[in-house]
Amino acid sequence: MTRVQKEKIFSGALAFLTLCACSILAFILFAVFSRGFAALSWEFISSEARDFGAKGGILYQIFGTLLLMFASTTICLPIALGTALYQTEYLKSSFWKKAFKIFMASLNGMPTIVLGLAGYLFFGKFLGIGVSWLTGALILAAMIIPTAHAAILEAIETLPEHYQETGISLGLKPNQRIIAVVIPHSVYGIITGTLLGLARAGGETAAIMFTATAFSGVTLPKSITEPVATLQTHILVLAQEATNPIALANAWGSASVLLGIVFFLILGAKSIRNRLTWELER
Amino acid sequence: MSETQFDIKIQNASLHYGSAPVFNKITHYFVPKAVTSVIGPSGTGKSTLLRTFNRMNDRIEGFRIDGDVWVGGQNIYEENIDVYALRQSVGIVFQKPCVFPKSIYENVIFGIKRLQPEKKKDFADLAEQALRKVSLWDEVQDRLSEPGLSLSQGQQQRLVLARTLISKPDILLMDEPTSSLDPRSARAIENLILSLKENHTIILVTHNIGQAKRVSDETIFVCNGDICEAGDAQKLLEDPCCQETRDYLNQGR
Repeated sequence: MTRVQKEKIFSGALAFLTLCACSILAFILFAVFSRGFAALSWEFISSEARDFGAKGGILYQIFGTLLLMFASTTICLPIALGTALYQTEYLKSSFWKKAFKIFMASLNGMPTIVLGLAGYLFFGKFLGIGVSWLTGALILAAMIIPTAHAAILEAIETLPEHYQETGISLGLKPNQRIIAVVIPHSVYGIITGTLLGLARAGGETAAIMFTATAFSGVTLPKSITEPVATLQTHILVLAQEATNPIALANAWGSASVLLGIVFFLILGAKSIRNRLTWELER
Repeated sequence: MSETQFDIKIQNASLHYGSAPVFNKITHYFVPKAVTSVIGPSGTGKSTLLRTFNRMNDRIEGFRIDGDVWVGGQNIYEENIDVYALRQSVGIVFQKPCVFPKSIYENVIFGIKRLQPEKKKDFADLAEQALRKVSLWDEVQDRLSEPGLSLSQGQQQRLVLARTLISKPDILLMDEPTSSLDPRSARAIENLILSLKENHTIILVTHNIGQAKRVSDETIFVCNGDICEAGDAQKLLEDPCCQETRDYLNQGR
């Protein structure tokens, strides 16, 4: 076998493996949207669930999911931004920088059910907030901090060095430099981190299932201590009703909507990231 | 000239990156209101020396200095020094002009906008004065709101100089400010350096021997972790005493 032939086989094998990875996504998208399409209608999206989800729509589930996503991101963003700024602008010791990275990686790798349990014990029981959307938002915020933090950190660390040097050379103090140089020039990274955090919060089920959501009988929460319905738990419970074809169709329809929301946010994050790269390369 | 009259003095100072010494126990008094050029082979620490005078090396992990560096009458490596005030009084211009993606006007007032917000009403006048000082006012007065990045490289370097001068620094550090410019723009910067030395003490790092001759009053030649030779620019560049200086200058001829 010649070297050229070996190279062709090797690159062909790699292309096949790449195709396998892509086909997983393609299969999921096809499976969800082909089955969910039949259930999708304006009525499905704009009406509330009836008969434990076997009839009606998913209006309050969409609302609950969006509420948890935006509340958790609102809580998470200042923490993620603050920690990234502290790490890059104030923390001098390389030991503590490394330790902090390990801490964030550990938090990122924490099984979400464990985070949900620990969060429920602390927020729900210890602080007395109970099963509520606020407990869920706080748990999700803790869960998405590493995602948002990593995206923001990357944006700050890839900021052109001469921007930082210029800020320093003009005599700006770290807080002035953060406001004048760092934040304005890493704003796309901050937005990317926010959107990725939103998307991750939108996809999470385990951490909020028993801490923030109720399957039926809830509409709009009247206070911060009430639970909400979410698409994630709605899909899970309907999928367990596998013998009821309408319930199953509604589960696929709900999954299509959830996937649509998450995809929209990820694509948004990617397009902003591309814009950031373009800005930096100018 | 007595010792106290010098704006910048480096006394018995050793500069290190980690365990690697860059300079070993160097001493030099820089002539005030004059241009001192620093020349020497690449990698000998010219920029490191320059950045010592406004403590720009502080953010480099492992950088260490032993000895005294006096700027404007204070030992700048003492613990209680206000390093931010020091950097305002010791301006620096880098090799490549760093213009922010903002308007020309916003670039000029970038520093004072944050450092002296109480002077907000005077910003326009201060910007005009700074732009006139660097001979850029006539070229940009009608387009101050246009992006700073729309200017040519030479104009950008003068814009950066205006941004530095608007804070009224006493000392100017210049790290190869013309190396990325065409000859015409480089000459414009050289003329500026000559006009600025009346009110500023200037230290210029350059690889361009011709430039050093044209603008410097004094030259120091650094090599092997030491200041090998220092003195009157014309004399040093025409008839150096030290063999290393002679070898370096001959390479450029």
